[in-house]
Amino acid sequence: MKKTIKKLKIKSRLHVWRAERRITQEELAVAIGVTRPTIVAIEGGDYNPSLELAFKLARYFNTGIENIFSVEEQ
Amino acid sequence: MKKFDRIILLVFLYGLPIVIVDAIAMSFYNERQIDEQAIFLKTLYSLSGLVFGIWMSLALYICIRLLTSLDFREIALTKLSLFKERDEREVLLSGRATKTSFLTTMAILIFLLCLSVFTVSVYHVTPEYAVDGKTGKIALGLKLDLTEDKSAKQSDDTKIAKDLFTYSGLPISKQAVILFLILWQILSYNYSVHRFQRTKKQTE
Repeated sequence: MKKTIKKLKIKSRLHVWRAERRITQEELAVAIGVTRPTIVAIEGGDYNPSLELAFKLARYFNTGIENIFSVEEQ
Repeated sequence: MKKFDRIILLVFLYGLPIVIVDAIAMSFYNERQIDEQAIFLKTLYSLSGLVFGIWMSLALYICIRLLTSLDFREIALTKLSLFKERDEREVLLSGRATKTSFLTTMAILIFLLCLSVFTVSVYHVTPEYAVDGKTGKIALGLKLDLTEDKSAKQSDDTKIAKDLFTYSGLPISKQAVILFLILWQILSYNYSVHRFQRTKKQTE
């Protein structure tokens, strides 16, 4: 049976996790090793992080990737 | 980058404004005029010549290092081009901007090549050289010179034709073209990065 995956849209709840812990974008960026515009872009849905960066974020918040990022078919 | 290369680069960059000021100042005088001046000015003139000679040697060394050393080229030219690749997103943006810059530069080079190889000439010939009674002529040509021929080529028709319009290649010097391309590369790359930073959905 052939299965085709349609285009996926990745949603981020990073801003929620960050806000709950009262961490600024700058602090998170420095901790993860990226620039603040990258955090802004991830939270705004304008940039999908690499697997490594997604794991880093999950590890920072001590949670699983699927709690920060979710995916839906477009 | 080796410490020696770093020092050479710094001396070259800090020496550039001095060389420019020196060149402008010396353009107001020729050697005979300098000879008539006081010893102080003569010494200054000789020193400026020495400084320029040293700076020119440094420039040649840097050019050779840019070609031969990957490390030196990457550090020196990324600073000159204002490359910013601080994280994965900026690396992605940089890659896209580099591709855009490369393609637009290719397009410009193809355009310049066309303009430089095509020749067009519109002229009138005298009645004795007319064909079917027609004295007006349009000559279209293609020229590709791999080396520059400095001797002036005389057209066979100069004595018998009156030029109305002639186009025989780009009327800009080689230095102007090279300088334009260098500036274009830097500006187009930075403009593309700026544009992609403003565009949504950077991973699509």
